[in-house]
Amino acid sequence: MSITSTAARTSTARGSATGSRRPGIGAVFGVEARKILSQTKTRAIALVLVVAPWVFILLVLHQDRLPLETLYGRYLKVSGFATPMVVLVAAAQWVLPLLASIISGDIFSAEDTHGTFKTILTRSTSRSAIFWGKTLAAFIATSALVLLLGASSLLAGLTTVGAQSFVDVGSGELTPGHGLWMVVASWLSVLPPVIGFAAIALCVSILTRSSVLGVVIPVVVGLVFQMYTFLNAWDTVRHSLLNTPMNAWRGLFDNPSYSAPFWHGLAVSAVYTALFLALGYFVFRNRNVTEG
Amino acid sequence: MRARTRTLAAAGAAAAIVMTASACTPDTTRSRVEADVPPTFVKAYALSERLQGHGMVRPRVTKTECHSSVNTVQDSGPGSWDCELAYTVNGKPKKASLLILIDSLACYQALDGEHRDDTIRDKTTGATLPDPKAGFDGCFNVYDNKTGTSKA
Repeated sequence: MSITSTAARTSTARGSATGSRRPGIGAVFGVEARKILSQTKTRAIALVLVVAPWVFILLVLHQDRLPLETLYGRYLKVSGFATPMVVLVAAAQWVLPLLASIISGDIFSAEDTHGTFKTILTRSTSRSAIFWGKTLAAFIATSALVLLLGASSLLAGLTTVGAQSFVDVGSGELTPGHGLWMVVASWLSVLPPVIGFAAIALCVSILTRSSVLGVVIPVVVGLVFQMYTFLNAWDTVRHSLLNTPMNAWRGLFDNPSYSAPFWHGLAVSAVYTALFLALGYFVFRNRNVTEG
Repeated sequence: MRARTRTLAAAGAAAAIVMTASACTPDTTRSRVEADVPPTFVKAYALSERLQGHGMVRPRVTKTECHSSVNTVQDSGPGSWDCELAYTVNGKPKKASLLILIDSLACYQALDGEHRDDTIRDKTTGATLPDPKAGFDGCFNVYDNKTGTSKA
């Protein structure tokens, strides 16, 4: 065990004893949230997420053909609620894992890049507070971007096509109110697996200390999962992959509905999140601060 | 320590057995396809009629037979399937031959081969739309007990 990590533990223990004046998770979260919001990349991504659904639906409305091979593609001109559903089906494949990686993949490694870890780890804030504050900020920022895409898609659909009655997954008709509920609930249901991808990105960011790898590796993992899904291979393995829960909403809005895929997906997402957060936390706690 | 190792090994072995056993049951089975396509077709047909302003028309499916074109021996797995539906509308017997394209996430696009490019006019908006009964989407539950791969 290194002298530095022993010193850090002693310092942490002393800090816990003296107590209440130490900035906690909330303080770290506030700093990290402001940092994420002020980054150019975050603002640029948010702009793309707001604009892209409008471009998509306007292009669809100005052509004769519809994407019939995509779930809900045939309803894009029937109801405005189809736009956020088609965007969700498409985004679940790689856009959502990419969003999670971009935000979370460098939240720890950026400190390595700028050489600021030594500064923050020797401040009065505990390592635990730094870890959980950063993690919380990354998860909330990622979730906010996902919901921003959903909200923009919904607004684009309702504005350009209208709030007509909609259909569930099995072609049963829904009132506009139920259609709205379906869109909102479907987008909320993808947050657990997206957070799972964010946890992978955080962990890679801590392990490799590289922002590039923190962003790239979770995306590659997502693509490998996606490729496995295309194979006619063991279904049991597919059920344990993190991209399967991205589609669990389909069962909730079938008629009759079934929730087993959703609950199973929730468990899978929880396992990935807990596993990678635990690994990241362990490595971060025992990190030798003199290395930077 | 040795007891903990033994417990972990036993848990690992149990997980492997469960995974292997459940891996033998495919997600896409003939039972699931034949149970899901007819009611979805009925709802798509009713939607088509309603959009055209024909009121509430619901066909009654009298017979369904679906087979995988990919795994013809076991009749299971994603890919293309052929479904033959016999149904009646207002007492008149009709038939539909549907091509069902099933993805590995247990959702599908059903296309009526002859009429797949048919369009209808939405009476409310005046828009020209793909006919819902000539092509519709659906999904089925892979956690239910409809595991039969052939009705023989």
